[in-house]
Amino acid sequence: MLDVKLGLKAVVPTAADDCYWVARCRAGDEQALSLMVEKHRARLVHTAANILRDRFEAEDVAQEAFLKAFRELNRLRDDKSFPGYVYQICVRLCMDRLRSKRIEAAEFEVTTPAESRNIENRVLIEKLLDQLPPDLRTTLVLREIEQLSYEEVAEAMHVPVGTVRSRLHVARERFRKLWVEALRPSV
Amino acid sequence: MKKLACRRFRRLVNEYRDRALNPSEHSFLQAHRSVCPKCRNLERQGTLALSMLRTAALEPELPPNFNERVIRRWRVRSVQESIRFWSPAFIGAFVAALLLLASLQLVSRSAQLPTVNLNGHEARKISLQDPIFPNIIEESRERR
Repeated sequence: MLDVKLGLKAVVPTAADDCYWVARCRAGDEQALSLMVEKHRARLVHTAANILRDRFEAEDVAQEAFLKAFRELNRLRDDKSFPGYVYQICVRLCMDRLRSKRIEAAEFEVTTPAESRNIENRVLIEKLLDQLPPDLRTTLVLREIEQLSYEEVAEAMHVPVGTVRSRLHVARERFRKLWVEALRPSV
Repeated sequence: MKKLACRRFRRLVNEYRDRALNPSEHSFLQAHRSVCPKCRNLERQGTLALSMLRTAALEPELPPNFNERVIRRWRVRSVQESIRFWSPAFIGAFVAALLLLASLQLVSRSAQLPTVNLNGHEARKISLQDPIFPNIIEESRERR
């Protein structure tokens, strides 16, 4: 609706225009804000949904990430790096949410073959991911589901590439163990 | 010796998911796979677990009013921030205005007080609460 009001359908920003639109966002131009949201929202919501495994929370985090990015635009040194900047904020907010969630002390339920056959893949994955610490979980999701390179994961999580490599190794191994444990009778 | 080989195998299995291995690394993996069933099983489990993770990726649909909600929240935040920014100035101005009013009130009151001439000294405005007041009355009685 807002798109129609502002006539955004006709104006689609290209990568080269990013600097121009970011400058206008900095000046508080709502049309520019809406354009930037339009351009980057899909990626942010997708990533947040896969890290948090909750569509509604993902939308909220993506919105929060945009607001934070727009508010702190003055900190952005290079306007071209806005996509990475807002993505980094989104990943950080996701990790904050994961950390603030109460860690459930209960052990993973041991499933019988019959139960495990009935458990949907997605639900099982959610349970397994819930047992990984936020750092490992985010690294694993960014690499395996979002298919980011080591460098991109490092930038998004604001850690060195070596840290990403070691975290990924640990995360994959833990995830495998959890998966085996959950499906032990059927594997 | 076998432990070392197993460790190397697991490290390389992790790495080949992210980078192309060189021929010697490839041949080591193949050789170890054929002699170590435990490592072979671990590799299979890892591959299955990760492929399962990838297939469980969520593809959320974007709500149609997403942009509108962001802009609305942006407006609300902007107003809140401007209020937060200007509120100290408003409070300061309010306090200054109160002080000004109070001082004006005092000035106008002192203009209404009675004036007494003290024995060749300058005229002075006094109020009934002034501690000097009883002395002045006594002095004027004595003079009479």
